[in-house]
Amino acid sequence: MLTTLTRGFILYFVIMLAIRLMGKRQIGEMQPTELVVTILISEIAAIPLDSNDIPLINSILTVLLLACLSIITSVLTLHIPKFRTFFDGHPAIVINNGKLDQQKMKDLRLTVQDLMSSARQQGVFDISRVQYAIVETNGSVSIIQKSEYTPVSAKDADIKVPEEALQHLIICDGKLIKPALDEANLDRKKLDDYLKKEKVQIEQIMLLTYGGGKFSEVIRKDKK
Amino acid sequence: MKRGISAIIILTCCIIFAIAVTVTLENKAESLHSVALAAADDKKFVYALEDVWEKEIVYFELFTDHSYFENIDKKIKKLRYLDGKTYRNTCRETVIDLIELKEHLTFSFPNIF
Repeated sequence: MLTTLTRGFILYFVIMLAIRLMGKRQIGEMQPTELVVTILISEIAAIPLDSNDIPLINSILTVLLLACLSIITSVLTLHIPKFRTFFDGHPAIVINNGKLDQQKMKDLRLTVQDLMSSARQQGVFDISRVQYAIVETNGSVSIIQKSEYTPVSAKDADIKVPEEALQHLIICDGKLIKPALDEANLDRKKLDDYLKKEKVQIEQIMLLTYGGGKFSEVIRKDKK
Repeated sequence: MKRGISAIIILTCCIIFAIAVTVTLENKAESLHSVALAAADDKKFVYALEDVWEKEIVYFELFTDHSYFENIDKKIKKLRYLDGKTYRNTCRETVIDLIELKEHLTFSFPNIF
């Protein structure tokens, strides 16, 4: 029992290391190469957890090998376009200039229902409003609406709007996030002065953000 | 790019480690096999076989499928208490098991597929 627990513990950290090594892309929507690696890693990790007869080192080595291959493949696809086409394929346009490309849909084995479902998920409920629909290499569908249906932007209306500032999380659940002070270019004295003015201590704050030279409203923790 | 370089370094380390382990295990299985053959001819070598096995078992435990070495381990440990035909038969089985272990460890085309 203890052996199984220890093996699980080790595998957890090795897989965490492998996933971190592979980068953020692995967590979001995946390309075919990344999907293959993720499926394989989960399978390989499950085998030694299930059976104590199989040496753990074999699985660790294989997980690391797959993670490294995944990184090398992504570096190659980043720098060599031919590799990119080979490993990830290329996007396919299924609605081109408002016209449905039925042959392309047949090639992709994509039904009209699938396409309409993807459009609905992006807030487009009428397929006749679509100017372009592109099936991306990770299988998701990007929809571009006809210009008469796209929302008006501030630029279109020639309105000046203030720049949106990035809000940095400074205090979360009663704890000061020190690296955020540097990221937000906020000095500690300014923060202390603000807290003094608001008559609140760090431990009493649930959430406080800072961005564009201003603090957000202090959200206090609920009293127990 | 940094990630790519670390991946190549880790991959190289993994390959070197795998080659080193395979070569070491093959050599250890080979030496065990020759001692087992000697023990099959003459019982006085059975103690030498036990010694070599005790020394090398940890490597097999770490790097091979447990079912392979557990079988051999049982047989080698009881050899010294056997005599006559039973001894010869068990010795023969141990040698065959060691040959199987060697085949399992060897990096070869049939083993890959």
